[in-house]
Amino acid sequence: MLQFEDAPGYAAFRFRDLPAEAGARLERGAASPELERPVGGSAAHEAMLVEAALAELKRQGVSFGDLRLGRDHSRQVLMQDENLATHNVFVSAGIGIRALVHGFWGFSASSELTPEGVRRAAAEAAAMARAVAAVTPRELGIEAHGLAAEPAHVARFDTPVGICPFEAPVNAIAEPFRAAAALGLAVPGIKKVQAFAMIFGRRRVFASTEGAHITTTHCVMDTLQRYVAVAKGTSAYRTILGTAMAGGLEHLAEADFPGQAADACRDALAKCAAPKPEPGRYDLILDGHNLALTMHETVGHPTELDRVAGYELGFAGGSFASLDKLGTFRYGSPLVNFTANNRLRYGAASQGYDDEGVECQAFPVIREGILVGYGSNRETARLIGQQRANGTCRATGWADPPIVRIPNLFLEPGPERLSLDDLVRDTESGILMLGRDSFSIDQMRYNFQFGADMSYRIRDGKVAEPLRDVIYQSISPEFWGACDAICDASEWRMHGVFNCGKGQPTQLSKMMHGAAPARFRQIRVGY
Amino acid sequence: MSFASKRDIARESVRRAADLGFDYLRVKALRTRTLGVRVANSAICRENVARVEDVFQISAAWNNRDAQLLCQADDVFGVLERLAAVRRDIELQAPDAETVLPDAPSGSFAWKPARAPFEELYSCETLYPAIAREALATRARGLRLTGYVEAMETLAHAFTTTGHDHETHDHGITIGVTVDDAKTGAAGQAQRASTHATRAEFERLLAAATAEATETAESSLGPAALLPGDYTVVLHPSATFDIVQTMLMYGLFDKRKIDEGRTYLAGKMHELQFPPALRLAQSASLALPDGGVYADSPLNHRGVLCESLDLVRDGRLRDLHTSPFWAKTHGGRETFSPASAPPLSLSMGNDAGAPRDLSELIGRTERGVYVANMWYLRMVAEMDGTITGMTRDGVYEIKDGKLARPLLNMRWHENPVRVLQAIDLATREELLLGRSRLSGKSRTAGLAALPAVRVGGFHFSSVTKF
Repeated sequence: MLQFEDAPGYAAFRFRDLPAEAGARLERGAASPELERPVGGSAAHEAMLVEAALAELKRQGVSFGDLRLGRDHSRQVLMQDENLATHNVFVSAGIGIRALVHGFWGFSASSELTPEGVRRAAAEAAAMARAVAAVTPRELGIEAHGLAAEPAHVARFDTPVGICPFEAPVNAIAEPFRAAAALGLAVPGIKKVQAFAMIFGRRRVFASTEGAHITTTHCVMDTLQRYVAVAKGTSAYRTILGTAMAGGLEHLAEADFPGQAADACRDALAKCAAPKPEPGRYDLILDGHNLALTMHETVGHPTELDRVAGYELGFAGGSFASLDKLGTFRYGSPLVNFTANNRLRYGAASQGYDDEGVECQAFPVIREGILVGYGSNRETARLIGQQRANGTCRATGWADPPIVRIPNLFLEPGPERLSLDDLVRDTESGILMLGRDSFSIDQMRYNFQFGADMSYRIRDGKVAEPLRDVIYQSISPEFWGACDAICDASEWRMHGVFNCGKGQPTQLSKMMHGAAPARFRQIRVGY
Repeated sequence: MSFASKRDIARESVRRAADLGFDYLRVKALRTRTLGVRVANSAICRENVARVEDVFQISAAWNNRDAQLLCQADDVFGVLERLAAVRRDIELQAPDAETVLPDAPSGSFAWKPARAPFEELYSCETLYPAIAREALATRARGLRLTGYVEAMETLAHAFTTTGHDHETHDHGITIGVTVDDAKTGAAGQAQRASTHATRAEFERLLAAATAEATETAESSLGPAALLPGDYTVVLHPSATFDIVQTMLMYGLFDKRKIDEGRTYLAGKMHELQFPPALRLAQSASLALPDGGVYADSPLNHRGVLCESLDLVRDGRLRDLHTSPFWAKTHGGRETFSPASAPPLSLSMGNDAGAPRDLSELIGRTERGVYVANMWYLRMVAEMDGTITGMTRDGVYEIKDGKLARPLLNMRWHENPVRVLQAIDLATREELLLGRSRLSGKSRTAGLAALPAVRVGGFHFSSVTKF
């Protein structure tokens, strides 16, 4: 049984206003009841579909085959001011089957969940692989190095869910946003309040021709509320990011949107009156929210081994962190340590086993500023001599093939006692940047620009006037090389990214990033 | 189960749901079929995908509340069970002051431009040999081919309680090719699309895209750094497409945002001037570069009949995207939403004096920068209208009407409205482009016909390392 690990500075939450029954569910690690229902209505039917597909793969003579039989749930609630503008509920079930023949892949997915339907999909995947093999030289296939070994796990894993977000009435989701919006719209100058909750759940049965059989349920939710001010002839907004974590509706109360409304409105109005900074170089203090996206784009993507190997050059792009740099490349200052961990409690990528049936793991990516690891799958692990993939291969929907995805990835807190207040006091002149806004990076992951939701000038070690539209530009290793201070674990926070686009056809994946505030010396601001 | 059976379930579900008392109900049977072929390192690889998905899309409204549901079911009872759950849940919702029932016309509507069966045009047999041939030819030149070819078919039939039914059937193909030199990093990228590609047409488009990407990669060795600053740029249709799509994605033409003072165009509607010949439109009737016409459905995603939008025409901003609620409360008509809009076109008229094609446009440019592709465009400052992005896979300095040398990729910051205002030349030749990525269930999302354009004073803000 896989055990969750706690993130730096975190223990399991004591959720506020949690009903006793929900608390008991969390205590015993219970899954969402909606996700516990077998695909096709009964455990026997689910098992029969798996057996039918595996039997067909074997009959087709594939050298390897796997399947992801599952059901995807999503629920989206969009609020405009106090109105529930959109309530979408999506439920979709099907099977995605992968076949390897002569070193080439075929993948077929179907929502026809009958024995005939899954057999047809298995046969089609094998036929596709054979068709590729017929027109491609053998040396371009993966037969030569094969797949990295993984024990054939027979296992079960569930994301603990206290309050099932798929069973709750829609008002249980909408009400905190409505209450917060009412507070916001009562503030003069606040013209609009927008919010959303996006909840995703999945049930998966993974099985392979190697004998693996893993059943997982996973549930994550993301929430956000934005306050838009129109004042002084302009407009500005402040965004409160909520609960981008694994679990159920218990995270929504924890996010306390009404409790943050007043500060958010004050900030949005302050931005309307705030100047842009003069372009130039500044010492920047970035909070964990802001760093979450920066580390996602400048460390997470460049260390996906399939990107490094050129698989994604057509769309998502390549990576400057090439194989020859492993173990020697100075990615950042000696303070910079990045760790991947798909076992973290509440981590959006903590799903027990990845979609190749590889056990989720923890592994170092950067140590004392040096590149030491990549996220890999069973196909790419051999490129760097790994005997085992590190459990970062995921498929978003049942109809998607699994690809290497960014794991839960975080910047380790600094070793010395250092609060955000201490760090500001230690900074004579600079800018404090909170939250996320604009983001863009080149396809090799060198040149980037990021914005912040709220920024303040730092003068003489004190937080001074607010600024608006602050963006910083840099080159990834130069930026991390300029990191000279990281706050301690007491300031470390976890933040999710739920819209990570990659692959063709494109898949949107979810993962967690974490950081404590950190300082970066003389980074370019403005354009 | 055949699509005809799914359609019958949708029709019968609407009829039998009368007892549930919705003010409005729409049930759509939808089948999407995708054949995607991924190439990496010059071989067809892991995301070599065939998939078929059947769903029912349900929109329901009751007493100023509405809800949407996407589900699967094998029979009428399965859909009715879901509808009963929606009915229970919708009563628990608070009223939404902005709910507007669709004013969809009653009667039957059909939009079926697909001229041949999908499987006749697109299969492993028709696609793989040509793709493998191009990939191996590229490899023989010492280069790598990476790419994605996606053929997608959608069949849909929607029925409503107001007596409206709407049937659609379409398919098409998008091609994206990147060629790179693994040793030097030099790369080129090209796209093509077709609304109806025979095997020969597909092979021609794939070969043209591969040749364009190869030429770019082979001419991009040893790029030089250009000092950041303002330059005249020549934009490939693909680069222009990305800039215009970004404007739409961020709602720059959204009437409500403008009226509420939340975006760059607020208060500027009547003061901004554009080149008199410039036309930026989203039209259900798209003139194709090969002389044909692609007729998209004139109904929007709610089944409401919508007029084409002339976003810019005769030197002025004209039509704006208008939501149902804003149209009802502030006048005007409900339009297509930017997310499900019909094809996009940009043109500068058919002036006989205009350059015929991209090479002629470059030939008429004394000094400047040619950009083949853009990447990662995002809003930076909404009230300034500033967006950012990178050049990608093909950027060159132009001197004396020629591509003088390849350049390192650059970051830029620009106002896309100003970019449109500053177009001074466009080619007569247009390219049909389609971006299936993130387009969801509709292939036509992202279909566009555009020329290459020249723009003065384009701001490059920094240089990257490759």
